[in-house]
Amino acid sequence: MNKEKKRRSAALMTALYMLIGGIFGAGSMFLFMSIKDSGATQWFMKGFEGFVIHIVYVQIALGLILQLPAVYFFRKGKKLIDTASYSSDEEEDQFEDRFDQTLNSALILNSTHMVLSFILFGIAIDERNALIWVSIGIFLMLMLVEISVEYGVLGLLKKRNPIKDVDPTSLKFEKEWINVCDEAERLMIYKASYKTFSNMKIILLCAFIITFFTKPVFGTGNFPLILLGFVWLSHNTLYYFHTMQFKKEKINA
Amino acid sequence: MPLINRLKVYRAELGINQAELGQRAGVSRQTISLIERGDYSPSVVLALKLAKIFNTSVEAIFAYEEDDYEREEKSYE
Repeated sequence: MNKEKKRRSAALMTALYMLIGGIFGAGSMFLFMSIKDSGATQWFMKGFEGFVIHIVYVQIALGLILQLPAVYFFRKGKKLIDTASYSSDEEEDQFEDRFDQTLNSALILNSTHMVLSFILFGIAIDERNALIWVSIGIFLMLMLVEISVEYGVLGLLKKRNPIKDVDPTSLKFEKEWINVCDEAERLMIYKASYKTFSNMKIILLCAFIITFFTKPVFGTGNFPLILLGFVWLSHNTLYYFHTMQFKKEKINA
Repeated sequence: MPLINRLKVYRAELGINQAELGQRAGVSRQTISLIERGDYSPSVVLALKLAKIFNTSVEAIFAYEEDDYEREEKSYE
């Protein structure tokens, strides 16, 4: 009886979510078409043109806001490991917490800057950008800094734990890295990966919906829809493919 | 699922630090610290390795204590 009630409740909730989704979708389409008719689209496109013309300054600002702090945290991590001293397990735990936090900050800022700078670089390749070669130069220079920080952080991790002697330039870096991790480290990686997979399902769906609406409003065409759909499909398919693959292999022996 | 462990006691008796124990067991110092704090339950293989290092049984180092939910479930059976 309990199971029957739960099944009925689940069916009702699914129907309710579909109804809410439908109302939201119809309302959003109405809103977006109103925005298009109001002339706000033209206003936005003009604003975006200004953004493209001045993109060099945005690239420089992004480098100062994200890349510079990443370098700071990397250097802080280097200083921490060079001056490390602890006389008890508790002190060593505290040191490692601080060290991990510092390196994580460097990596998060570094990788965020990398993705955003790629986006800005893509936008900068535009005939409206009079300083296109300056944009390319800034992108390449900051890319070098990003790579240095990433390799530097790896070097610090190796220094802290010599077992983690993995070549960052290797094409099999991810596989080699997980092979040198112990069981607790691997479990953390797997948990974080699954959480990322779960969140990406929602993010990709939302991104697809937004692209669906921007097609009539901003005239973005079908290509973004197809590309995002392909990414969404790959994301799901790869996960289920690997699940089936791992079921056939030994899990942890 | 709470796992009570006496790893710190055994390690102190042997007179080695976490890093040394980690090296002998083939895991990082952080993993040993996580186990001692009760933040991580080792795999069967790691538990057996640790028992071998201390020349004792796994049950002497690790004990399983039922939590309230599991005790309630059992009382219904």
